[in-house]
Amino acid sequence: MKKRGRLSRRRKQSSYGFLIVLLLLGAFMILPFVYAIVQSLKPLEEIMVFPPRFYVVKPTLENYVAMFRSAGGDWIPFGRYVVNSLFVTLAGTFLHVIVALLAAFPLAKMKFRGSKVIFKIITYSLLFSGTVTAFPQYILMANFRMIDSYTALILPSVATPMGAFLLKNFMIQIPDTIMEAARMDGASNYRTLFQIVAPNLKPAVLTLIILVSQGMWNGSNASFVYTEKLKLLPTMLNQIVASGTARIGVGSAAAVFMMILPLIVFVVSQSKIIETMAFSGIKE
Amino acid sequence: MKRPGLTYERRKALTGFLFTLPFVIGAITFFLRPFINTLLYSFSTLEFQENSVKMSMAGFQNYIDAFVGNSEFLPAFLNALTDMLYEVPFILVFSLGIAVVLSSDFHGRTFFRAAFFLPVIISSGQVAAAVEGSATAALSGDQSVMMFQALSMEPMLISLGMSEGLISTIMGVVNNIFELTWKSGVQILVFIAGLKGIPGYLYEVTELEGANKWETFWLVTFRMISPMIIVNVVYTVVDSFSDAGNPVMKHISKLTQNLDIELGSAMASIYFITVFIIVAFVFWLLSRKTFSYSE
Repeated sequence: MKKRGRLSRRRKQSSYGFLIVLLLLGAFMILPFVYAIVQSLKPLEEIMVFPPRFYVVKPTLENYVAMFRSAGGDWIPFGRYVVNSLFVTLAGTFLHVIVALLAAFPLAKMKFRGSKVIFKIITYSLLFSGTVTAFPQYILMANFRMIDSYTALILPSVATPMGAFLLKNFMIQIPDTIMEAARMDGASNYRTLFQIVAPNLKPAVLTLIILVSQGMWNGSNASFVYTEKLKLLPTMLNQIVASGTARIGVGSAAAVFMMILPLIVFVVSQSKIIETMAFSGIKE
Repeated sequence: MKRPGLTYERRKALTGFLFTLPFVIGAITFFLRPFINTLLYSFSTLEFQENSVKMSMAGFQNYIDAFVGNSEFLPAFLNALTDMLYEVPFILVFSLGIAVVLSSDFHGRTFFRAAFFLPVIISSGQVAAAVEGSATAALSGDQSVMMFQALSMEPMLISLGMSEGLISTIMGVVNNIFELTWKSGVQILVFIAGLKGIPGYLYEVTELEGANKWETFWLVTFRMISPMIIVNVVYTVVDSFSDAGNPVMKHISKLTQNLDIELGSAMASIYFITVFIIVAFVFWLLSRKTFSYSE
């Protein structure tokens, strides 16, 4: 930090004007979140008040208690949904990052025959949205006998092209020289990737972790699973929302609850994104 | 990996291939194949039998139906295209600006980054439905898919105690900007990560050379961030097209739910091929101008 003190001070001054804009926009971003929290703390009679109020008179935790006690599915305890979602999110994110790192490395750093074609496949697979291919995907899962298992929830997300696409583009930023140095010192490709390249890609990998984990945490893939005890949190939340106005409070409580994990992941990874290259001594 | 008899080039190709293999298998299985099936369905008529689906050729009939027989598709399709035309540049400039500010050192930067990422967390799926549901149900019960468009922001503003005239003025101005801002969360993050990868010495050099901030931005920041610009253009185009709130998407998923798979597939194919051409064009345009250490 010391070395660039003067520079960052200069940048700091210039951004004060921008900070005001930032504050305004930031406030707009946070409002819905605050609103959800307020709603979740309202007792039923306050939720029914028209027009809705942005504050709560008699805050109560009864919505949260109700959420934990009977979560839509009646006999399945709330904790089960949480564990399911946690497991699927963790496994999916971990596998996704590994597979994406493996794929991005040769595409960015070894120009081999066919690498361009593979990268094209990656880019254009980005376009296949789940909505469009929902029906063929279901047929596929059925053929693989994956319906109603965690595999159906995890595997497609591992193959999502976002990670490989993102990491490949970040890896281009890393100078070839450090990899040559590693190879001179006798490091294998695996070692070069996981001990030299990956640490220098920390901001990108952490960003990817944020994106993938939050996508998986919020995705329900409801049509792939029908056994109640395999279902995920969003499915449960959906059931609550579908049950109408009377359960708005519980729905808000569940929404707030669901936002906790992505927020934690976000804050932890963002605070770990330090200026990697500026300080780790990569100089071309 | 040392195998006698393999040249360096071939060994490199083999390792490269092996490294990408898990991903390629996944992409082909879960994305390419379903898409090819979508294409096939779009040229067929499907009959649902007890345990199977029977396909018979239908030629271009579904495509004709999509354009001629369906009054909703074409306007929605054109709408999505024009939306994208102004959305992409705005989102890119906006998110780069915000990212530059958020990536500098100031107190509370993590808080602000979180604030700008909140929309991504909230607007995905069920959470949005729940938050929005609680906002709209009390007013009208009218639930739009995208939350915090004018419709769903109103009850919130009312609850803040604003008058009706003021609200409608605010909504008019804010609505567009706000919606686009909400779609910039991921792009901001990608840019921040990219900015963190710019070596500090480049800034030292430009400072020593006496460049002003404007010059530094164009000479260093903009150049070094150019690979991320491609990433974000592609991401934004894809996101804008595959957004579940987009009228074409809504229409297609409605058809799919009614098991009108063939027509839905035809529309999806038209839609996909259009995006494909756009993305290919963007690549052609941008990829020759981006920075890379490797060349």
